[in-house]
Amino acid sequence: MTAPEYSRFSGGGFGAPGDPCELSCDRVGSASAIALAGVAALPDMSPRALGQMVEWFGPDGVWPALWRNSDVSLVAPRPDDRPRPSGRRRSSPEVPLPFGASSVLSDPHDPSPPASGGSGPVDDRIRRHWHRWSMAIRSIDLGAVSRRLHDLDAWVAHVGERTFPERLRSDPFPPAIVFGRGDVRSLQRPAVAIVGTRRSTRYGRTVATELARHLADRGVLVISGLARGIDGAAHRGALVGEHRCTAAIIGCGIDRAYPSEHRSLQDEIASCGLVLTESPLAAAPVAWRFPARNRLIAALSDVIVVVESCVSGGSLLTVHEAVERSRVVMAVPGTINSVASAGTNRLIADGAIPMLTYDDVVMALGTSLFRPNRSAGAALGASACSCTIAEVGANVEALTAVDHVAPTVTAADSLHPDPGRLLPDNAEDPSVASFGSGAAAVDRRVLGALNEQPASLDDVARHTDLPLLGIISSLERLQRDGLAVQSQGWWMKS
Amino acid sequence: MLSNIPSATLLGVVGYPVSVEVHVSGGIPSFTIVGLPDTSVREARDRVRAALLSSGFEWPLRRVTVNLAPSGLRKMGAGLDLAIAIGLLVAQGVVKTEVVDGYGFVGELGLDGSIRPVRGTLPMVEAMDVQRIVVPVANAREARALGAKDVFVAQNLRELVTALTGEGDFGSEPPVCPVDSPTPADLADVRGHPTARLALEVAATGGHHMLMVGPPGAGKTMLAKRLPGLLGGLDHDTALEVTKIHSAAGESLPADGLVTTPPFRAPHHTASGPALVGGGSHAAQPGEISLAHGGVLFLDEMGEFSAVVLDAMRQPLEEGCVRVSRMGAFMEYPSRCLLVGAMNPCPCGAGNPVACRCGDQALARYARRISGPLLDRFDIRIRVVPPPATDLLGATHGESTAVVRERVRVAQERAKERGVAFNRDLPGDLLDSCVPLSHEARRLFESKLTCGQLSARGLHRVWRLAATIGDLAGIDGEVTEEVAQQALALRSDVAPTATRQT
Repeated sequence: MTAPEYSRFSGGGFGAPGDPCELSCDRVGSASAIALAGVAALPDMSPRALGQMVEWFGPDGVWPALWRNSDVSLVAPRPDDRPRPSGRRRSSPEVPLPFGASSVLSDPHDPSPPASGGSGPVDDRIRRHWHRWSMAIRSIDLGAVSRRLHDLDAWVAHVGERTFPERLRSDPFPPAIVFGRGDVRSLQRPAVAIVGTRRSTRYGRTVATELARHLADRGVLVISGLARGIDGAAHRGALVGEHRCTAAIIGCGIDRAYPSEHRSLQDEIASCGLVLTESPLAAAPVAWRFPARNRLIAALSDVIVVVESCVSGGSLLTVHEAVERSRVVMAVPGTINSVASAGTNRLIADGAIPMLTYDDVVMALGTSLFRPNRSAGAALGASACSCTIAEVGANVEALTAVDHVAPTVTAADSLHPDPGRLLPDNAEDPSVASFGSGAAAVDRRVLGALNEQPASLDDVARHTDLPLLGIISSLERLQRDGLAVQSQGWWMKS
Repeated sequence: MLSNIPSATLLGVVGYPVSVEVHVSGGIPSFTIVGLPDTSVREARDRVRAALLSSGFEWPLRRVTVNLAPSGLRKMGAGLDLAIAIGLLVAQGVVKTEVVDGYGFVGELGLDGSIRPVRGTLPMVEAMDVQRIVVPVANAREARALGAKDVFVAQNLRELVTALTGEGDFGSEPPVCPVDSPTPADLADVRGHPTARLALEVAATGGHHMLMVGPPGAGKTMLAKRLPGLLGGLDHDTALEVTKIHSAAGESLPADGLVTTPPFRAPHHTASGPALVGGGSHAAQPGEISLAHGGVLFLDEMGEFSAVVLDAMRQPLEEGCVRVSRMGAFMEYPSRCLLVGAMNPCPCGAGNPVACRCGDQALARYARRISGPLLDRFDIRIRVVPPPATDLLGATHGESTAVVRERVRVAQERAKERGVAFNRDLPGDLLDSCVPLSHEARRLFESKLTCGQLSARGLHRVWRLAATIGDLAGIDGEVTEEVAQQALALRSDVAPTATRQT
């Protein structure tokens, strides 16, 4: 490649494009990565077509090849002399091809991957659009791309660079380039993905928030997709954790926010964690990008926790990707009456590990860290992290040492037994007198009918069989004494 | 050549006397109506001409001027037809002046001479300062309900003229056929719902506005329909007021002419502002809030009503009357009704906050639909949850309307001793003297005020509610702490909020 070919590229820091390990002096990325960012934004370009071109020409060769507008049939390797996969892509042919095989995951424009050694739809797509693309790149201002990334405080890296996430490089289907905001070294932490439905319940959001905070307190990276519902709750929970480590993998351009109400959340994550996407700048959050985004979430995580999901939710696609990559899949059990828990309960029935306490995830993380599939990349940057694998391991040991079980009876319970349970069913029983009579006895029965689930006045009346007016007075007394709380007409034990 | 016939016109729900002066003189044949007639009064010319000819009378081929006095008042409707026709006959000398002396006329004429019913007969009859009044047959019973005037009816113009001249008799309205009125909804049919039952009883006693929040199918509408039965029959004055409003609005009236049971109005949530509070560009009609005067205005799916329309109801609810000003006219409709609102807790309609799957934005949008000031108007705010299957299928019936009504009646007597019909109308400055708070109740309210759970206006509302609960419990004197607690519990903050609180 020669300088005139890059004449439109006016951004500074144009390093030697052939050196993949050269960290650009411009912090938005190397010249070749910015060139690929420009190519990725071409009309009708798909991540997989870009990946195919990078495989043919190398990360540095795509732009020059398009610029020269060489006859693609001449430049593209023919089926017989196509270079063997370099080990990055489809390194093991016997591994099934979940990415291509699953119809929901594939780009609708090229539904199946090219059979190795043949001329597949991706190849056809490249050949079909080659001439148009080579015309189009002449009007791309790479300087503008670079400035846009600089303004966003974002960076771009291609698969051949050191800044490219290590765990994606070793993935069977790595993206050709990634765009990010924040510190890419966040990914060197042990990572747990918290995924779930956008139409979540209060229970799901509470679990997601608490779990994320629990993990962030221990220096575990919380990965999620910045969607509404569970995703947002997980990110928010991680941000209040001690280490505030969270990574959002988004399905649109790095310069966009979807949903828009999460824009400030996205900015906050970028400031202390990482926002990552494979979509080019200005890419709209179209439906087909999200299954592909889920694949990245699965690839970047050690453990995937599904908090809530319908029976056919998008989080199950993440699970599918995770299973293909031998990641640990955990699911949060829920009530069988909730539609939002139907998918997670089904996952548990199908063999996913049930998450019964928040520490279950830390335990599962501890075991997964010592699996052989945990690549050397994590160990490479471990020193850069404040929390190392060894620390997490120590956490796990501490947990196993106390013979960790689900807390069915806590110490507090045995010290302060539930007064309602002590009370006989019949309040007129003379033995009640020893606990107090009249109002106090009613209070005990009413308190016994309350639990952590919100109950209406009607519910309390049914469970106590007392006159309603007496119950109301009793509840007000209990509220005054701090034993019960009322919110929006629902009563709970405090 | 000149005649002067008493009649009346309707403005809002009030009748105004009108003198119909007819002058017939020589000149080029013409027919002019003066005195601010609206279009339907102008069209009387063609109706009256055809009716006269059909009844065998002559149409004067002379110069006819009809003046509707007072000429500054805008006249509406076809109720003046009959008076104009009689005036023409008198002015032509067909009927002698002495014959119609002391009579007033209200009615619309058909082309065949038949006399047709008009809306607002009752207020118009009341307005006329003559003793004997001729009305259409269909309006006779409501006109008689007034009791103060002699009401005569006629089927058509010819029958009326023969009766007036003494050659025949006035017609008589057909006897009231005893129609089996549908049995009113009874509280005995309600299974479960102890809280809502209590709330209905308190609402009926004190006239407190009531908001029910609950999932679809929990029984909110069913409960609201039982409320009019608890209110009991209307006293004569209120019944007359209600009948006047319903008559003016053209609503069908009961067979005996007087509305004696509290009305139950349930407008659809697409109702416009004028439809709900009254007014409108053409004829200023009473709205649903006035039609529910003396009874219950039930707003189902209150969250779906337009926010502007709902907020327009705030002032009428507070003052008990709607004031509509139009160019050259000012109308006042009574609107002392009991407002019952029903709404879902959130857009997804889940009964329990644990099961709710609404997004935060959807919740915030839903919460914005009901303004805080309107929510504040509801003294009683309860959560309605669907009763369990055992209650629904159980054989035990709750108390019947008759039993609860008796308690309500006794408690209402106590309120009347304070000089108000309902405790809701107790003025704030009299609360301390009429229903003083006990020391404990005062402390309870103070604690709620200081922690922001109760506003200054909310305090008065809870206080009135406590007065009603005390009346029901038969407690004389101070408001006890228990009663204050119950009042607070019946006014819990159940409305949808933008943030999840549970």
